[in-house]
This record gives sequence, C-alpha cells and structure tokens, in this order.
Amino acid sequence: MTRRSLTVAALLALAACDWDYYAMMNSVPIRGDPAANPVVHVMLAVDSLAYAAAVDAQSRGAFPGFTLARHLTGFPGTSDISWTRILHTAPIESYELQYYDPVENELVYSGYAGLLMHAVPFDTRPCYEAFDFSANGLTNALYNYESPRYSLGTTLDNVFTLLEGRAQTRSTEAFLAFINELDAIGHMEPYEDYLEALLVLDRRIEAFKAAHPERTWLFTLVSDHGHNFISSPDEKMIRFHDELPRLAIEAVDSLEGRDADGPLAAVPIVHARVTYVALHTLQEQAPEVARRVSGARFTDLTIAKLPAPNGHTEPWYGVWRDGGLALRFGFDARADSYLVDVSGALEALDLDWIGSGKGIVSVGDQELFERTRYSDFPDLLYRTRTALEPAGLEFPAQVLVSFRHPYASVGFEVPGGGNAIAIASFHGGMHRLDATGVVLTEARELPPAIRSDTFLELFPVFAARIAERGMLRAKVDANESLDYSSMP
Amino acid sequence: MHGGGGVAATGRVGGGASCWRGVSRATRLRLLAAAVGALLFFTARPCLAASEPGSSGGSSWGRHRLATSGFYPIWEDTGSLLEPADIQLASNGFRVRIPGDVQLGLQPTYYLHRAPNLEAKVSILKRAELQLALRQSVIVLFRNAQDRMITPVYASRLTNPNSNVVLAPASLHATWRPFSFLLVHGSATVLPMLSNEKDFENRAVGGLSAMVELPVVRGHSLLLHGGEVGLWDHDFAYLGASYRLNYAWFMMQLGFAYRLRPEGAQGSPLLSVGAYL
Repeated sequence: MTRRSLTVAALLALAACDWDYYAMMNSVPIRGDPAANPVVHVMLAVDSLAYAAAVDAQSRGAFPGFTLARHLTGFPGTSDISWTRILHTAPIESYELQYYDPVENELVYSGYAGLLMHAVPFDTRPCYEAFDFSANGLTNALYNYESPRYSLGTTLDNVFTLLEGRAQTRSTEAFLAFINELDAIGHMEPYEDYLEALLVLDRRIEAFKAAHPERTWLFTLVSDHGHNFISSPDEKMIRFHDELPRLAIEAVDSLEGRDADGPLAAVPIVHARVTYVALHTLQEQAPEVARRVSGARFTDLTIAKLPAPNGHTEPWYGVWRDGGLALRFGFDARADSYLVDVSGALEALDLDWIGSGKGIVSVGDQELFERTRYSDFPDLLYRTRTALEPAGLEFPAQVLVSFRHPYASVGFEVPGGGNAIAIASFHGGMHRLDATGVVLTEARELPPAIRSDTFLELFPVFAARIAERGMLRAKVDANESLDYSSMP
Repeated sequence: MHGGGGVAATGRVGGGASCWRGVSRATRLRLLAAAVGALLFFTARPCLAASEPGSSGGSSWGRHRLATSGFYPIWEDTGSLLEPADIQLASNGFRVRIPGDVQLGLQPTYYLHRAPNLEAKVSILKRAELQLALRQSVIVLFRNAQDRMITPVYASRLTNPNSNVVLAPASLHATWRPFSFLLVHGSATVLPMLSNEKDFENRAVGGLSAMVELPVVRGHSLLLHGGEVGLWDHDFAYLGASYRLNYAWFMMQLGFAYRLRPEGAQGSPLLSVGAYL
C-alpha cells in the first residue's frame, strides 16, 4: 500500500504542472471596455533585430508610420546582459548563462550543463520575467533552433492572442512580449529569409490592428543587439582554448592559487557562437593579457582596466588593437566626463577629433555619444567602461575580446560533429554591425541614435509596466542618461 | 510541449536542407498521429470483436476503461459518473462518488496555482445507451491569477490585477453510445464570470462541446475533442485529440488541443495521471 501510494504521489507530482491551468486561464471569454483603455502600447522585444535589416524592411514598405532609430547596445552584445540593461532588471551573474564565479573560483554551466540549461525553462533570467510573454511552451527553445520559421509563426500566434486578451483588462496600458526567433533565423538562414521573417512580423502587426479598430495600438519594436550578416566558415571559427597557449597565456578553468607574478593565465568563456570572448584573469595580468590577445589575427580590439596614472584617482580603462594600447582613458563620474589620453592611436577608433600629441583631454559623455554614434565603434568609451564594471551583472570579466570580421568564437561544440550550424551571421562584438539594434516605434518621435541603457527613459509606459511586474531596478549606470533634446 | 499552433505560419521564407526538413512541424506531427492511429486501429480490431467494454474480463486491465470526466477544462465532461464508492485521484481531478447519484470533485493542480475550486455532478438519466448529468463548478481566481504559472513559459490572456474573479460554469452533459466502439460525450455549458468589474465586465457565456471516444483496445481509448465558446457571440473554438489508458488502478490521459481565435492558434498540451481507488 505504501509503495502504491508513493507511486501515485510521484505521478501526481509529475503531472502537477501548468498545462491544465494554462488551458483553463486561456479558455475564459473575458470582455473589457475599449473606452477604459483606448490606447495600448505594445513592446515587441525582438531578439537580434539589426538596424540594417530594419532599414531594408522599411524600404520595402514595411512598418509604415514607424520612426526608426539606431539602438546602440552594450558590449558584449548578447541577449541576457543586453535585456537586463535595457529593461533595468535585477543583475545577472555575468554576460551569458555560462560564467566564471570568482568567489567560488569555478566555471558555472559549462559544457553540457550549459547546453541543457538553454532548453530548460525553469532558470529564467530576471530580464525575461519582465515580459508579459517570454516563451511559447516547454519546447520553445528546441523548436526555436530546430525549425525557427515555424516557431516564429506559433510565437506570433500566441503573442497576438495574448495581446487581444490582456487588452480586455481595463487597466492594461502596455504589453511586453519577447520574440526570440529572429535571432536563430539570423544565425542559421540566409539574409533574405531573415528579412522575410521581419516582413511577416510587419504583416501580422498590420493585420492585428486592422482586426481590432476598437483600440489604438502603438507598437514599438526594440532589439538587444544587431546581426552582422557575415558568415564565418569553419576556418574562421576560433577555438580560444587552442589560441591562448600560442599567445603564451595558459587557458585554465580556475584562477584559484594563481600568482600575479606567475605565468599569464585566463579563463575563457566559450559558450555561444558570438563575436566576442570574455576572459577572466587576475586584474594585475589583465593589461598584458589584453595586449597579447589584441595582436592575434582574429582580434579587432580588446579592452581591460588599467591602473590610474600618477595624480589620478578615477578608474582607468584601455583599448588595445594590433598588439598595442590604442586608447587609454579615465572616467570622472562627478563631471560625467572622460579623461582621454590623446597620445594613443585615436584615428583608428574614429576618435582623433578629441586631440593629438600628448596630454589628457576631458570630453563630456554627451559630446562623446553625439560624435561617435555613427562610427564603427559607437559610444565606445561608455560601452568599454560599463562592460568592465558590474553594470547589470555581478562578475564582469577582466578582459573582453571583440573579434575582427569574419571571425567568431566557435562556442560549445558537441563531440562527434553536428557543429556546422548557426554560421550565417553573428553578434556580440564592439563593431557597429554586431552592436546596432533598433528602436522602431509609432508611439513617438525618436532621436537618430539611442543608448540602450536609456531606452526606458524614452518609453516610461514600459518602465511602468515592468515596475508593475515587480521587476524594475535602479539605473544600470549612474551616468547612463543623455539629453537627446539637445542633440541634432 | 510546444505552446503554439502555427495556423498563421510565417510562410516559406527559404529553402530547407532536405525535403523532410522542409515539412512543417505541424505536418510531421499529423503524419505521426495518423500512423499511430492506424496502427492502433488495425491491431485493435480483433480485440474489439471479443471485448465487451464495461466488464473486467478477469484481466489486469482496469474497470474504468471509459472516460467518466472531461479532459479539456471548463467546457467538457461526460454524462456518466464513477461507480458507487469509487474514488479517482488524478492530476486533473480528485473525484468521489457519494450516495444519491452524486459525484463530488475538485481540480487539485489549480490549488497549486492558488485557485480553489469544487464541482458537483448529479446523474439525471442512466440508460445503457444514453446517460445525462448536470454539473456545477466553482473556480475562484484571486488577484493576479495570471502570475500563478509554475513555469515562465506559459502565459494567460486573462489578467485580474484589481479583482477576484469567480467562475461558476453550469452544464448539462450527455454520453451517447450508438455502438460498442463509439461514444459521444456532449456538453452544453453556461459560464458566469463574476467580479467587482474593475478588470472586466460580469457576463455569462455559453459553449457547446463534444468528445468522441473510441475504446479501440481494452484499456486504451482515443478521444477527439472539439468545442465552440461564445456561440452567436463567438469567442474561440478548440480542437484536440488525446489518448487514454487505464491499467488496473492506474490511469493516464495525454493529449493536445488547439484554441483557435482570429489572432492565431494557441497550442495546449494536456495531461492527467492518477489512480482509481
């Protein structure tokens, strides 16, 4: 009898999931009053919607009446940390699911454990809990990569079904939905397919609005990073554990017991297929690790913190290219300005307008944003500084590597093959092609470029909705704000 | 399980790696379901001729080979009750038959979602080929019931941040058995929704549903589910299929339904696992 009872209990526990409740809650025919909430703001958070693709889509007649802006997202440009910063939700451990814990001195979610976590929906990052809709069932993650175009159709079905229902509630002024599939389509399919998927999204929006004229629907599309649409064949896929020893840097899994005066060592975070790699190392070794890696054939630039020069107490940072320090700068938080050492190779970073020769020049954050927003490395100093500080995360890396096109980090590989997938396009790096997402809205006029950490300042209705859901936190960075009204 | 239907699919936006890869997931599932259905049908035919549903036959197959309750929530049920003094402990229903042709029950997993509920079902006609029953249920959705999902991958259309909502579906259910291998369970339901109206209006909505049961092999049934909610003021329709197993005291039912609305389809997996005591 006891065995039978235990069996029953176990089976009941197995079945005690959301399916019945989900079916019940979506089978109640509710009806609201359009006069109570005549305007509904809809935020579609489209993973990996690239600026160039949005321009293409609008040139083909999509998104009529929408205003488009460059969305300059943080570095590295990967979803978890980007959405955390855009939505101002609780900090996550580090840039991606796999990370290095410097307290325990261990890699977390590496290998198969990390791979499995992508498919298991129970450990959702706080940023995704800010959305009213973030996934389409238990197997959404699998479908998303197995058949992303089909998955997009089912996701859009669910998004618009939920939107129509949620709008019945009188107090509904905003609805936030996360659409993941464009990221996978971009990684795996030709550009034309990606663009067609974007056009499908446009058609679905227009069809929904036409079918529900009882309310005014103001859609805003926002993305977390770009897609570079540069394919990386296998010979351009970098296996970082193989590369570090060639640079006389030991690739390790833990920094426990390492000596700053000992051989150089770093823990590479090799998880997803992206155009950046995070290296955890001893801070004392970080500048030299960054210098050496910057000279590798695949590196566009590296960044790391630097010791402050004599007479300075501010935090200082470095940008290395081609094996040398290209830019050195400090940040004065009280003045919200950057102290730039103009003796560096500023021209290669489109920063030679700051000055030349020798010395340190102070430049305001506002001016730097305005003058670099269209460059190859937009908002470079802010993005460098916040990438190396605990902005939206607990454990920043000591060195971050941005890849030169068309190189990419191979990420986790399944032994035995099957890895020749997701090589059509990448994101993650500092370059504008990797980093520039979009804000596309019919709710308001926009400045031509937006720092993603300030997105919610421009859309307070979405900030209010995230606050309602109990997920809104303080600013990502105390100096993140910009005065767009004073920019041309 | 995947939560979407794909009725409004993206269309073809590029070539697949192979002809099989080019076949949509929905089509693949349909082909698989058809293959399994055909296999069961042909292997079941000899058993159908020999078996007389309702008798235990002295084997280990359970006594409850025919459904006595609905599977899709709110809108469907059967005209039959459990046998006297029987108890069903399943993930989609704790039910007990008490004297007076009455069955009491509750949906236990809703309590995990903090949605208390009860139901009473009374038999009003018991013939071999036709059974009728009345059912009254009450489900209470406390404020913010949409946030009670255990996993973050399912979301609700209904949100009630400012009100507690009482759902009180009243329904008439019929089970008609024209052949030994076919049962039709029909339901007519009126669903009153009551609250302080701070979130949405109080209203009552009608719906019709049918559940076709094919007891193909002793202890195994295939069921088709369909319903229309709103009727002349259409809200949604649903279609689904499920497989039901009863072996000794064990029962399980696994299925999938699509809710169809103009905005698209919502896929909805359904599962019930439990025991008869």
